[in-house]
Amino acid sequence: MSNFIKLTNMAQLGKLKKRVKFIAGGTDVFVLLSDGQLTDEIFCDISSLKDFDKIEAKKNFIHIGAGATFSKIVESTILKKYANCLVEAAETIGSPQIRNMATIGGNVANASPSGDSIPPLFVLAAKIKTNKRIIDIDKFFKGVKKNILKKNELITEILIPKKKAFSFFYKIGPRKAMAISKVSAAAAAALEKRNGRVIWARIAFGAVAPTVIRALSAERTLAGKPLTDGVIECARRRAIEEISPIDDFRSTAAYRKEVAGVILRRILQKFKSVGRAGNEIFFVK
Amino acid sequence: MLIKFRINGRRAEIHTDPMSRLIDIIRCDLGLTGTKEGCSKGECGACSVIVDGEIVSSCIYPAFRIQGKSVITIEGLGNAEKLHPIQKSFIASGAVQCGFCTPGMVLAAKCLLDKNANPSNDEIKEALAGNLCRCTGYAKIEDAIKKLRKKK
Repeated sequence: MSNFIKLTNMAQLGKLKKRVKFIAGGTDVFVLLSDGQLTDEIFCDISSLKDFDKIEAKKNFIHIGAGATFSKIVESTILKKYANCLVEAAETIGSPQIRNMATIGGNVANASPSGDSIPPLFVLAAKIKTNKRIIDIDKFFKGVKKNILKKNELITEILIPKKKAFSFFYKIGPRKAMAISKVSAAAAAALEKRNGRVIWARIAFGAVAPTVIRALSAERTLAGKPLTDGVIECARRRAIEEISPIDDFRSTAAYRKEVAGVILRRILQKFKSVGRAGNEIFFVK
Repeated sequence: MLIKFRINGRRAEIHTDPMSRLIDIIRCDLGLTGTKEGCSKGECGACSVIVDGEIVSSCIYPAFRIQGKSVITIEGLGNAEKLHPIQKSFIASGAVQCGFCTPGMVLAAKCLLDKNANPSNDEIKEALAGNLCRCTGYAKIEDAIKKLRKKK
């Protein structure tokens, strides 16, 4: 019989003495179990915590319960409005089966450089709320599959600032479903209504470094400029200088670098077309 | 751990390790061997079953999560005497070859059609994206589902 505890309220969490392995959807944990790993863990079921999968708009932030499944994220109209790139990423994760089980809290805690929900959270300037503190997303990851959470610290919510911005996500994998990203990218930008000029932009890449990373120099290249083909090309060049992908069993460094630039260009061209289409709500000024 | 749930509409109670897999409860504890185990990693969809109206992979679905829920397996749809319309359509379309993916495919199709009686071709493909078939090339499986569309 496995060592197993069911958490029914947050107060119980503080009373746990030994280190536990949290489990909600189980899609990562059960793959490790079938590989013969996680043999000595005490598993802690967090799937019954109250409101753990709620998605709610409050004054300054959208609050996403850590237990929200990707199916729930895909269907959320609030997120479609304020976090389009996260919804686009959720649509590409796994398969209908996986999306019905896997949670955003698990995807973040697992800290894989190819976790598809993570680049969107970087460009949306998300905050990770735990039972102890609130952490900015760019301070959360330490390395491949490593985060800064302390013993028995549990992610309870993901907070997305209610900013006016457009955002998109794009990933490259061997096929459309059940593909772990070779490269992924997300970008968010606020555009000036009058002329479509970029006010600010945030760009993040997945699977090109030990953690998801921002392309800060490419972001600076875009700020204050109109999205002409020349400006987009400049940002693409800057971005691929900033990333340092590796060769591994999923892809090669050279291929990743090349397609990272291609998917960034596609995303920036989308900004250009929404700029022309004039979707009212997200323009600033 | 005592787990109470419904399987194909009937009440069930079993004592099991909370971290055992739903597929083992279905196949070993309940003896319902229509659900197949392919990759054991949630990749292939052969083990798909429906839990509270949603399609899931039972090889990576924790036992503790079915507490109080309703599970539908292929045995809950029909049998040799009385086939479900989806099963009839699969046979009529030649959508079954080796048959290993078929229970999962039929349940994925049921999940889709229960929510959306008139799915587009793309919606059918998306609903089957988590189910691998190495025989048919998918075209006949998609045809079987297309024939069940209720035109508005």
